[in-house]
Amino acid sequence: MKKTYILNQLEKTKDLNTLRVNLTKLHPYDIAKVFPILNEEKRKKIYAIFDDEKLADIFSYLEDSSIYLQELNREKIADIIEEMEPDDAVDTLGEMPQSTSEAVYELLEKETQEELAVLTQYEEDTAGALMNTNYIFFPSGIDVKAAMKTIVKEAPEAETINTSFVVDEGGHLLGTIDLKKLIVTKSPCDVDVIMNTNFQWANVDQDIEEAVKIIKDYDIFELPVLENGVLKGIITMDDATDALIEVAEEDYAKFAGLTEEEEINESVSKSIKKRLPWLSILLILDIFVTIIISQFEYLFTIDSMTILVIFQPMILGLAGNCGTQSLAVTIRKISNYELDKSKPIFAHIGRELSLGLITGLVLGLASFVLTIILLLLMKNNEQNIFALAIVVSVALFVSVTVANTVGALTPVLLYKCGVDPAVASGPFITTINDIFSITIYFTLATLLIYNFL
Amino acid sequence: MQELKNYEQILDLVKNESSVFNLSQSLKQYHPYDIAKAFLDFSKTERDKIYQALSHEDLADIFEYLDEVDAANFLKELDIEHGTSVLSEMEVDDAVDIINELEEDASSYLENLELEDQKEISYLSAYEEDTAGSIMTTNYLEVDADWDVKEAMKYLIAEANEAEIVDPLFVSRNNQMVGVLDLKKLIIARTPKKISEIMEENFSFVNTNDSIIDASMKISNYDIYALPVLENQKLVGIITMDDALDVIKDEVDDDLEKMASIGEIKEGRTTLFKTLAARIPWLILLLILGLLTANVIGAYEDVIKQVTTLALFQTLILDMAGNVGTQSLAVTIRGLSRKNLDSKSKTRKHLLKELRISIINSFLLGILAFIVSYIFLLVNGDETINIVMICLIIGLAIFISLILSGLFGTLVPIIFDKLKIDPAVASGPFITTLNDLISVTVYFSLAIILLGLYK
Repeated sequence: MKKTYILNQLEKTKDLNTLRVNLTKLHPYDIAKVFPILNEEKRKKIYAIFDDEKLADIFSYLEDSSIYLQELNREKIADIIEEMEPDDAVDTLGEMPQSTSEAVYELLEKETQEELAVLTQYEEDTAGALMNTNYIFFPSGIDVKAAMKTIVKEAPEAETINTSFVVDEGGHLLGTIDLKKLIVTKSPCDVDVIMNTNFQWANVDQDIEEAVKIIKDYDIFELPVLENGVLKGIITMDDATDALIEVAEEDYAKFAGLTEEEEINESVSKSIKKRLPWLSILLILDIFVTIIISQFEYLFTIDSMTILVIFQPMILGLAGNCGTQSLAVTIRKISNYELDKSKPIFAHIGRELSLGLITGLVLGLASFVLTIILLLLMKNNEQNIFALAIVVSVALFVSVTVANTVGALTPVLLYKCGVDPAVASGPFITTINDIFSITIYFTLATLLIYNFL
Repeated sequence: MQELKNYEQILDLVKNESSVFNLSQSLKQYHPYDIAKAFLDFSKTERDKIYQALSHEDLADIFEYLDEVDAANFLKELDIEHGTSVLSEMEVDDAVDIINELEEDASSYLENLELEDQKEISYLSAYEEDTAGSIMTTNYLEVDADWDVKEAMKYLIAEANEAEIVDPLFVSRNNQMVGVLDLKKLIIARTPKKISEIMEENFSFVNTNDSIIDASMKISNYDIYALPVLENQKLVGIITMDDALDVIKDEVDDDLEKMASIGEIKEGRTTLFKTLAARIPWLILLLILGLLTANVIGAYEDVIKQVTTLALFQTLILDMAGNVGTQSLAVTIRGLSRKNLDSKSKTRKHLLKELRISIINSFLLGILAFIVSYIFLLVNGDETINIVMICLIIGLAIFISLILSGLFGTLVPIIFDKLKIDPAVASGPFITTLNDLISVTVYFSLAIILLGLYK
């Protein structure tokens, strides 16, 4: 709806002033959304009608902002970056080719340069890299009236005025103040009296996901970020929301065997790029499954044993499903920081193991009965139906138990080794479990049937 | 981590502190979230200590952080009067959630509430689940567009303590919402100036019947801290960003669940037995489907007997079909839950796109499968078999069954969604198992045709 409106306006309205009036009410997010489907000429119209501040907002919402920024000259880029939130500015500069970003950086005001330099010193994916430096703070001991004056003066520049911060001479954070409290408190009264000294905070080098979790769990709109107790910046809830969604989407995509999150309206070639790499790897991995099966080829040379093949998909399928289930539960627990200590880890693995044992037992018994029925229906008299049913049901029991444990253990091990546990995608774990299940199944068949032939 | 430390300290404190007064003083230092987390690990006597030590308001804060089922159970440990007081201190949307879980006991609590609270609660619970109306809160400040800034500031100072959200303020005129006002602007403005002069007239909002997903996406996309909820253009509530954050997180988890699992993945503290009870019926169904596949392969047993090499590649083909199906399923489920597939033309476009992707991917993977199986058979195969022909069968089987399973992974969730069938049925395991059935048929039929084997 909004998309068509913007496209129509850009197409039909020739007069730039009218265009400005017609588009000015739109949220920068909506304009950013149509950016990729515009041609350069139409984008130039947008550059012409909006001021630097609005353009900065639009660019902050764009994912590949650097591509479009190159359509502008360096002075204009610098003007736009001046207007951006520092954290967005750092991201945007980082995406540009180094020569351009250095040149643009030189054109920025000294103050902005210093501000950005603070942020760039922190590693990516740390609280320090995501934080914002436009916050309001007071020295300890000032009166609420003076504090209110500071807020009025600095409000236009600040990211938020809802929370302000009280610091000592060394810049150490002493407490946070809700604007609400400041408004209702009558002077004379020191800010120290009304500040909240029991605040949540993150450290500059803390993982972003941890900072986001604090914000989400404690419902904090502005989380202070400290370095050795000194206030360095704040992370706002809207940034946390974006980060949280990004992480969850990534987990979801990886789980499904996609290299990256895929939007539904993406182009075919982009989608293929995200899907084909994993599929190719899995195909190669499946050749290993074939190699394992070929080790048991001696079984199939006997006519009465080829029947084993028909139950193979069922055993592998069920084990695969149980493994995927336990993988999903485990990844979710890891991303909620529920598996950081050895006690809950052992409890979790114990739980998954017992779940595997019980489900395996139930499925084993059910499959024993059903396999006998199926074999009778197929009127297969060549082999010992009973022995075959035993092999199938015991193989199912063991495979399901193993698969459940592998599904829980693998992501935990990866996590403990510092590797992103989502690397173990559903399809990957299923293929690993195939190898286990095949070995179990055919070994049992060798032991219980082949050796007695 | 800080959080773990807090958790342990709280456990220690409640276990060892015998004076109620000291306990109430010490607990004040902790965030209600931390106390709520520890709550589940306390014994009944320890919880009683907490009930005594903390005020109704503090207890209400803690209960808001608990899962509503847990909260309802703990609330029942309090006598009706105490429980009612706690409920009345809670955010209305959270109170409604808990009351809904109290089931038959709910009425006794409701009767004890003040009339005003009763009205508000019954008003909110009238909205259907998953609509914006059901998660909104009414703890905001509304000012009149024709007020002077001084008047508004006075009102703000008087009411700020009661309201959860004071920034932004919401502006109405004659019962119609006309704008939002950043607190920043009000603070900077000097009298004489009317609110209507400094407010923002161009604001985002949702209607009470809009879905909470739409509302949450709006909040996240537009970076809105408090989204107004309107009914006939009258402001009736707001949805705050922290609630939207929870909604979005849950929604992504739900998608993961639909794709990955048999039953719930948010099982958390449910008992082993409950988890099993949820999972086993599905697994039995999958078992029966698996036996159906076995039956289908059984029909081709003679083919396998003649060319045992075919058995070696069955798993490879089934796995790959499953993988392709899972990818299509993941993208489709995501599209369905984000309401990106709510029109015929969008659905058709998505289907065609998935088909195109499947054809290209399947073609490339078919060639790759031909090559790797050829290498494998050169090393491992005996001379009696026609290697090229076998590899051709494998390559073609990959090509055809991958297209079909990609299509299946796209089509099944869409059809089930249209028929409003429980999404658990359309989950990944189910589709993978169905794809097994299709793929073995394709594989062995190809073998019969290309190797000229007839029963």
